[in-house]
Amino acid sequence: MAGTRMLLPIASNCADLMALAETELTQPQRPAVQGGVRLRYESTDNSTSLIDQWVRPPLHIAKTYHENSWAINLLTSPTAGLLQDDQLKVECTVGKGAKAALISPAACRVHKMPEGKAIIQQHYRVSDDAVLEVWPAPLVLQSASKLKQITKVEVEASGTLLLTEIISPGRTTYGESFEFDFWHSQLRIYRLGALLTYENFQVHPRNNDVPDWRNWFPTGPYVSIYFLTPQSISNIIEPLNNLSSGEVAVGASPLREGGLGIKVLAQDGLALRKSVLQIRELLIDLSGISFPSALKRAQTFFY
Amino acid sequence: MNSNELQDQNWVASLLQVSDPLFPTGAYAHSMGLEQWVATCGYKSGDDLLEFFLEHGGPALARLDLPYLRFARTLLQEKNLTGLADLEQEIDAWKWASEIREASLKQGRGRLRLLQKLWQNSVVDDYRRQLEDGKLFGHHLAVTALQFEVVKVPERSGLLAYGYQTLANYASASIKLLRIGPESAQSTLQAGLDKLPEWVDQSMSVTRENAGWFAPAFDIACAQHATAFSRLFIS
Repeated sequence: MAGTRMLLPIASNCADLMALAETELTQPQRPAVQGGVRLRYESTDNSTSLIDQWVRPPLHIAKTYHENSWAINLLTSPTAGLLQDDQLKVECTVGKGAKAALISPAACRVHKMPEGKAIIQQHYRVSDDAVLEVWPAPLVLQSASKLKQITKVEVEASGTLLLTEIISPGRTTYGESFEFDFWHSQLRIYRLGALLTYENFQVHPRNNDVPDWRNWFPTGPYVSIYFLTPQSISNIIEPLNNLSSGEVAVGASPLREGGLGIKVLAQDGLALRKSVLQIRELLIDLSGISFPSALKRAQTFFY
Repeated sequence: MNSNELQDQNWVASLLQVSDPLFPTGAYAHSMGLEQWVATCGYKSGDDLLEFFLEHGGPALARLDLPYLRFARTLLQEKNLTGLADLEQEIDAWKWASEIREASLKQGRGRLRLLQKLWQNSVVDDYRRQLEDGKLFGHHLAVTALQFEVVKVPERSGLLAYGYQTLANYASASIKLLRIGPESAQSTLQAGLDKLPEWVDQSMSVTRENAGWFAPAFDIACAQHATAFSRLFIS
């Protein structure tokens, strides 16, 4: 927890007290955590099994839930969120023909940090005929927080990926709006080994970055969705763009090698939930894949 | 100015030629996202266009386009077309909106065709061959870097010229999109060009690792343009 001091021995005299005071001043307030998960799913007998897992706190993985040919895992963290120098590493491989969903149902707060930064590294691999859905609740960039994200995704030609990321620019209940120190993000999506999508940016609100987002919805979240599919996506662009309203702006654009990127800016949490569910419905219909109803029970932030 | 210095300025005429709207690359058919942005934001005046330059056009040049132009020139100077292919793959991947990506290819390939016709050069021929083999893309940034190498434009002058072309293209489109005349468009362009040297300076310190720009609302507008009910421009 932020502000928690390390436990130190009781001082026996004044000199010890002085030493204690000095020691306390130089001790870090909280040791940073370096946790994560490494998961591997394989298809066996028309079902998907989690055949390899490594989990390290603060991340916790609940028991795998199976529905039809899918394996669904909930990723949670019992901590308050990400603090200075915390690092999370998520690695997930979905083998040929397997279907897996990683759900994180609780918002992850990135807390105030005087220096340093929190780092989230993700690496997903989706094999041929495999499906991976990654659907977390929002990352909340609180006042004076610093976050660096590095995401790498590799998808084979007949693999399907539905990758969602949601960023909230502060705690709306506290009136926060773009008070974080920085958000650095690098995303690389490869298909058939070639770089398909590359996002690389550094948002520093103090430098008046992202004025377009701030002007449109100053406290609203940003959603990025990548949907890679072997199916044709040409008929879905217009219905997705037509989801835009006074409360939400939706833009969908085809990627070079099949699939599309969708960006959403929403006025508030309600508009966010509504638009994400509408987008998912359109994408899942198009995919021709039966997504499990258990996702609704798992993703409690949205349902 | 001595005769050597005068001799060194021979690139100026060529730079003026390739930067002129008369140089037919098809840029006039593209607003590069401005059309939908104007419609969405309700822009009306030259002041609105200047705000766009200051909040989006200029910073995007400083943090993304100009650094990539510089990286491309360095690779060309090293005759590293393999490295340039990697760079172009990256450019193709960060152009998120498909209309902007395709517009860059059309303008780049149009410029390359003229470059090959007007300036016979072995590097241009090599580039063209690799493009035909599917190893290179022909993105506007890469072909512009090639062009500046061929006509021997000094680095900073090339960056300024590319910045001018970008802002001038927006100003040219704005005459059809806003209630402003050519004089007002020039006044706005001039105000943007006043800031251009600063954006060029900023771009010089941007590394490959840090080069990037994030404008989600603008990206959304660019994507929406593809399915807009009425459109004047291709992008």
